[in-house]
Amino acid sequence: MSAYEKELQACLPDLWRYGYALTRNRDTADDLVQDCAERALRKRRLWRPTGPLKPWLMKMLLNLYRNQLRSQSRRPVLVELAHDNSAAQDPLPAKLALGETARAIQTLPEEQRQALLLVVLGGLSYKDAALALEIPQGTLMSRIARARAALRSEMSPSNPNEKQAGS
Amino acid sequence: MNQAPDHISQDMLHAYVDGQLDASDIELVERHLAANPEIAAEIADWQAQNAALRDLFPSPDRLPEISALAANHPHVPWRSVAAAITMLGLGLAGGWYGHGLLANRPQNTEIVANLVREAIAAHVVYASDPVRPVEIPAAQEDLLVKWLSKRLGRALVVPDLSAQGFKLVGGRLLSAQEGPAAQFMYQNADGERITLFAVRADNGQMAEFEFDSNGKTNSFYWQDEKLRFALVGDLPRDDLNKLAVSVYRAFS
Repeated sequence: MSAYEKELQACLPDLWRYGYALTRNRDTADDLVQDCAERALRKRRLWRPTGPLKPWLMKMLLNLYRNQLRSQSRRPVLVELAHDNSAAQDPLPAKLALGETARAIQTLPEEQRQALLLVVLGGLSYKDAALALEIPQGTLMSRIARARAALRSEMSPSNPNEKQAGS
Repeated sequence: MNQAPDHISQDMLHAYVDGQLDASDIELVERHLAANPEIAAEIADWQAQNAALRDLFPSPDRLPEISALAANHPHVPWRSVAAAITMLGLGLAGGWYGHGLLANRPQNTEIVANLVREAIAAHVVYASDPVRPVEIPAAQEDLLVKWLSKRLGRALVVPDLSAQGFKLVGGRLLSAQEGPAAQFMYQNADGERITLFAVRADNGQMAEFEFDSNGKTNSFYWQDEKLRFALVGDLPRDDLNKLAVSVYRAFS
């Protein structure tokens, strides 16, 4: 395995995780990662990005995902309803909190969702995430801030003071 | 929330939660949180959000092996996308085949699907961008053409589509699967935008027009000896067809 292939392989878990969180579907995440990796291998001969590989791969995955979003917008979307058993051993409140988070994350505007998940699950630095999303870092930070504020008020609707504080 | 002191910014609080802060700043933030329980509660919520997201979307238990991919298995992703592209040869404009387009050559479906997909994605992203739809505006057309021609390694022209009421907005360089891609954007008096997407073609083949409709957005794909093209717009097929013919003529 070449150094490039090793670097690529090392990026796959986070790529998959980001793809999974965006699509909420394991099979779709598989396809996204597969497509990304194939492109990265094919492109290597023509062009190699300067700097780290990961933001470039994430950008590719995002492009694939956005395009898919578009083509799916007129078709019913398949969403995995049953999550795996990762939460099964947890006590009930924890499971409820997870379900709430899952619902709340869906209510975020797409651009905020993409930014927050890229940092939390994609494991990119703010600088690299801004690069992958092709936005200034300040824009990234404000999207993340808005996403967190929205999630917070979404998940504690019983506390009006929190909502006030988030605005 | 309370105003943070000058040396603790909102960004630092986020960086703290995301593990992107260095040790000395971590100490500063923690001291700040200890003194401000309200802010500390907010930060704890952010941390809980992160933890919940990681629990919800755990790492994969299986992954494609790079070595297997490198062996170039005939995996065809996006079958549905490829299948959605209707392969319609259009012998429309007079003298069409006289220009040497090969009517019956089977095309590489995957390449076409990829290019059309990338062209549409780029169209969607930039045609709707009110702030910066292009990198280089039409006012600097010469620079635009020179730059994109250089990057693609092919002489480009900006087709004149004023007969159909479309004026150049400008263009940008994009990265497509096959290499650097040029995108020219045009706009009519109604504010409708169309984009022409071009990448270098290296096989010296020609290909006929193909029409693809994705609900509202239509596109035409074709190829000459030097370039592959996709013209994308939210226009009726016939209108886009006429524009495609003008573009084709400008490059032949």
